[in-house]
Amino acid sequence: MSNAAHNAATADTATAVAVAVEAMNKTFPTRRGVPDVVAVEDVSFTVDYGRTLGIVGESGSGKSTVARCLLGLTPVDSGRIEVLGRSIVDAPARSLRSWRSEMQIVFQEPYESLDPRYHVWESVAEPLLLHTDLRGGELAGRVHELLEQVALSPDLAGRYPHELSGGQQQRVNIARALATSPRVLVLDEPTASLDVSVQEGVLRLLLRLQRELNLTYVLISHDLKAIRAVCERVAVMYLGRLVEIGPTDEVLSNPKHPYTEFLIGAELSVDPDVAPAASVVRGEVTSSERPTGCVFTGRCPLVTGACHESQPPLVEATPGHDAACILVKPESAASDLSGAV
Amino acid sequence: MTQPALSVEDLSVEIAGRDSVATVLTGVGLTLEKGRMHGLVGETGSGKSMTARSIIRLLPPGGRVTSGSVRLGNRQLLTLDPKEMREVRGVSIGMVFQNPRTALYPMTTVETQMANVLKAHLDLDRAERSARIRERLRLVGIDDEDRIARSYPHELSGGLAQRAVIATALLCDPEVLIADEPTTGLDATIQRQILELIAFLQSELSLSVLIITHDLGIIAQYCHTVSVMHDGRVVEDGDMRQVLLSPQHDYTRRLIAASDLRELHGERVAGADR
Repeated sequence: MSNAAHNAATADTATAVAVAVEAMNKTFPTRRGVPDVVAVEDVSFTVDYGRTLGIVGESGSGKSTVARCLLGLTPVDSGRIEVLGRSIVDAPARSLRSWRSEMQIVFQEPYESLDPRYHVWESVAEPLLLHTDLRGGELAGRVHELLEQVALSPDLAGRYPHELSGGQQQRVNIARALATSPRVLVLDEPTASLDVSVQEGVLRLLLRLQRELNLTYVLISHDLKAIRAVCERVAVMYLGRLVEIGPTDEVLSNPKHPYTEFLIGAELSVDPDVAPAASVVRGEVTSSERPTGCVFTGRCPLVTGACHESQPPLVEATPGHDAACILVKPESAASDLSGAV
Repeated sequence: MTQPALSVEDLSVEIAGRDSVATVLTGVGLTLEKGRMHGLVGETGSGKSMTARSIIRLLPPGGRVTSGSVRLGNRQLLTLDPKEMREVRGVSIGMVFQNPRTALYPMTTVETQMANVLKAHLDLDRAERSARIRERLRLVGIDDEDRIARSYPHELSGGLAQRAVIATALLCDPEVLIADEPTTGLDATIQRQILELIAFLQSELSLSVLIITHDLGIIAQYCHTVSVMHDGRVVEDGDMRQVLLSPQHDYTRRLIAASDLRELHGERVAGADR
């Protein structure tokens, strides 16, 4: 890690906000005659230092595009992204590369994310060789330390990815992500392809690492149980827009946007006595036919004429809890919404 | 007690590899009562899909049933000849798999592939086939059945494709529907729609459904009975509420605890208060 970058980041920890995104937009062009795909539209949020923001949504919601834009892996069309006080929009590729040591990503597919020709030791050493001056004994020491941090036995250091379980593979990916001592980790569905008994172990590890290393997380997930278990705050995305954001327990127990309510209603509890919501949301996410007004009009049971006119902005429903629905009036509309669904 | 729709007894299966033989199922038993939904739950490698494949006798290369019996109604499936078995797979047992887009043949329309199933198994004329295809598409909640019948699989969303697969599975009025991870890979709201559809079919048509899943939530909300599999064996089975509310086996307990991540949530909330 370059000292300049390190100092800049250290200075910045004084401010409480680690990641700030304002009015992020990203559209992907398609072939002629087909409307462009609006992947992310006017998305703004912040993540406090040492905290976790969950981004939840279904396929096509734009949550993974947000993750990629945060790291500069996909350039945004417009908007401001600041990580640890530094803008990553329009930053030259060279400086982004050194910047990546501050911010890392863990992907969903643990096996696909690893080079099948590298054994565990080489996989973990690779980012250190690229980003640091550590060599020889120092390098070995750091690799050993990283394996210890993710609770992987040193006996596994000589194993190749296909010789590891899914959970072990994901631990190697986490160790790789931690190699350059980042302050921010973007976790894109890190447990989605793991068995339930392994999921809990990986999430537990992520929570411990966050405490020990004072990490800031952005966790992308479709799984409300995982979001509930690790995130202080949650943002709900639908068709590229952020429709609701706030403290996790507040949003998930007192949702203000009809889509969030449906997402919670679709959850199937392992307790037979906790029935899912009686109503089942109709239709599917249709990114090809983008509505003119509110993005949820196509599936919303509460839709009115006014919903087709314009996209409602995020409005504070309860303190720190915003929703983008015209039915949301500050501190008042809660009863209307829950009564009607 | 009436005869079960499907029963498996003491089923053991091994798969021969290049230089070793692996036992993948050991003494598996399960009972699916008529008009009920039975869940087979387990993690990767537990043998739940292998059990389903043994029932329909489509084991992977090298796979061999070493002992046990599989009865569909009063028929013993393991001793049927290949031709009879094809009739069982086409007519008596409907099958729904995880990825609807790979279950559908990409080169022909939904109607053509559904018609091919009917041609293979039932003696119907063109008009009767067309009528039955549309009737089954409506049954699975597709209200513009003409458009969907003319569509190719890639033109359908995941949810619609899975409905088309279910409609195809129902074409010949099966006694039993086997659904292997029918909603894995679908979005939460679509998963819910498909499960509601399967539950509707089960109660409306008195269909007997064997659902294979890794998701205890599906078991808790939709199944009457359940078998918990681990390491090629059934470690616990019985009435769903009994198993989930007072699990006897340690593995079942751990699976339930890990499934809802409640403990972790509790720790986070407790940590935040400090």
